[in-house]
Amino acid sequence: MHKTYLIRMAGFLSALLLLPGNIVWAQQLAKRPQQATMRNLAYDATQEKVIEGTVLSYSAVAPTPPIGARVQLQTASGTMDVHLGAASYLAANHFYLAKGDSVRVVGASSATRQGTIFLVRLIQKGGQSLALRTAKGAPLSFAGARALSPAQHAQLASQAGPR
Amino acid sequence: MNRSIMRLLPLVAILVASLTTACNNGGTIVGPPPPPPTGTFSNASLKGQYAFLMTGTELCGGLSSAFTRAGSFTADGSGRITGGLEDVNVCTGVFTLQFTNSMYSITADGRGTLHLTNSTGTTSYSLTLTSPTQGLIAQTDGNVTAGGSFQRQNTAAFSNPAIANGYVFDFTGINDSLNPESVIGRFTADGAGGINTGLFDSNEAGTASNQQLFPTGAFYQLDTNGDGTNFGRGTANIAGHNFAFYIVDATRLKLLGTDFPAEFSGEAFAQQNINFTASLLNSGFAFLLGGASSTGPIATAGRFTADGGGNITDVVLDENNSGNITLLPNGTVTGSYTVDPNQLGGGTLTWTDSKVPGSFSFIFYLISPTEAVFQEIDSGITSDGTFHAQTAGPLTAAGLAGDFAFVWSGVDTDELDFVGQLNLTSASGNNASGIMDFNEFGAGKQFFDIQFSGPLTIPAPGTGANTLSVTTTFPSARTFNFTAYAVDSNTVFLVGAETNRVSVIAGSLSRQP
Repeated sequence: MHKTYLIRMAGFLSALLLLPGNIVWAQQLAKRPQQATMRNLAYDATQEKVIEGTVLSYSAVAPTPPIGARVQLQTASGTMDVHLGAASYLAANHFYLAKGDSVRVVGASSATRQGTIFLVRLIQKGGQSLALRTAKGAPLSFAGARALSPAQHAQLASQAGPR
Repeated sequence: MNRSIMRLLPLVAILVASLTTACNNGGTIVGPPPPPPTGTFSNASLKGQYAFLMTGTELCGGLSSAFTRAGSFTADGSGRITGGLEDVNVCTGVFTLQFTNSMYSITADGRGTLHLTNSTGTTSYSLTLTSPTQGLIAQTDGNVTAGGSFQRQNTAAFSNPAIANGYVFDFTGINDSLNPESVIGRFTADGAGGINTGLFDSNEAGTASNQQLFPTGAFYQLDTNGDGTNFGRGTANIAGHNFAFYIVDATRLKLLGTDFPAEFSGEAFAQQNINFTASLLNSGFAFLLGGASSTGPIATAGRFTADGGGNITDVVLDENNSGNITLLPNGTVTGSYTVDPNQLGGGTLTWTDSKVPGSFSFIFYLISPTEAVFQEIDSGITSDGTFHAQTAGPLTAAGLAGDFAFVWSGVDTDELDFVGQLNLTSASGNNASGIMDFNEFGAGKQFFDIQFSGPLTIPAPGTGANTLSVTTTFPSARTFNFTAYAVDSNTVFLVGAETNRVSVIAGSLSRQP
């Protein structure tokens, strides 16, 4: 117990010794410009909306930018296009969409230089729900299997091929 | 100059990791027999110990995932890899693996193949040498694709004391929150494993951190189990992240993040030991950036002029944001820059175009007055790369004529990695031709010896937006349209897309001897 205490204390003292230097450096930290508020494809979580609708069409490979799967929804207030991200991420999670499906999406509209697009963070169909983006709006397909649980990682490790 | 290529790749590969799937439907595809390669390269050109770093996409449990590998291999000059070690950060964790019984082959034009075997199996690569001391590389396995570079190691630098004084770094990847993140900065190594004066700027999913101090606990340490002296491997904590590193030489380290499920990689470069001020930035610069936006991949290339007094002029750029193209100048462009008062090489740069919404804002850390790591911090964009002092010009087709190695990475529906050789002639018209291998991520989607040709168009004075359009005819007609920004007659940055496909592709050309 005494040894543990000493080790912790030593760590604390080391941190204190570093502190004066850090204060000096903190005073020298450079200022950075304010981020632009109107650049393309920012995701503002405070502007999230829940939208329910019926799938009019689903495109795994969008013929026009941006890259990624797209859905046209019929909602109570009209039709709208929503962007889902990587079609492969949907497929790998066994989430499939077809004309006539009733879905609910959570997401936010983002301004682009070419217009406005609705980016989906969460999609639900029947009893199935799939997160497509992080809270900051980054597509979860960037991380792919890294988003799985430790137990799932361990299971995958037994199936891994050459690395 | 090849270091610039490597800085782009992690970024592009990460963004690229977003949109991938794979299938299992056959073997590789080889193009029609090309003319016999010409040049002075051979198996003997690859001889010695080389450090490598690659980033890309792997298929894991049906999900495409970003991964990275860094390591060291020893080539005997006769087609055999006699040893080596690598660290991989894959979807199942971080592992250190030793190479055994591996092989390579190099043809006269510097192109070749490499097969690396470890305890998990054999991985395959295509490569192009830019010289006997370095090259560009792409992984060509069915369920794994990646791009990167390698450089010959100086074994005399495999020690803690060799790593001393200032270093600038750029690493990028996926953080613990599964967001894309770019971290650039600088630190001072004390030659004994200690790190001080550490500063960094991070950008997580388009949110900038402002300049930060390194958290406590920063260090670097060459391995003491033999891997340090044999392979130049060590471990480090930089800007709060844990890494394995491989020493190229005292001026360059290749870094692979060992935290999991985070996945970072990048490089560190010795920083010139001077007091950095705004007046030192006094020329044209060409730049290349890659990363992610909220919809997918983004790549930007261009050029600007810094006047030594804080003003930016003559901005030209191409931004491909998930297929949406923005070109500057559109209206009137105005810009400015600052260099941090602490004179440690950090700084800011911004410009606006009167006809384009928003501004373009960046952070940089100078390696020298002619070279920097470069990070875009506009809202919603996580992107980084490099800028290099640009030749005053003029640049002409005659000046650019010769052989180049290239590596491109990108995304359409899947990640794409290309590596090959391009020949430019001084003729007008169809003056570019070459041959490449590429991987479209998926069994049966590896293409070898694919020939292409097309025009490189260079409007005077050649330091602005040039165009390179090359077409393949096998296995199907495909045209790649790039805007080409020349750093000088030896290095060209490329950003573009394919005709008839929504895609983002970026890379660079590096002159062969």
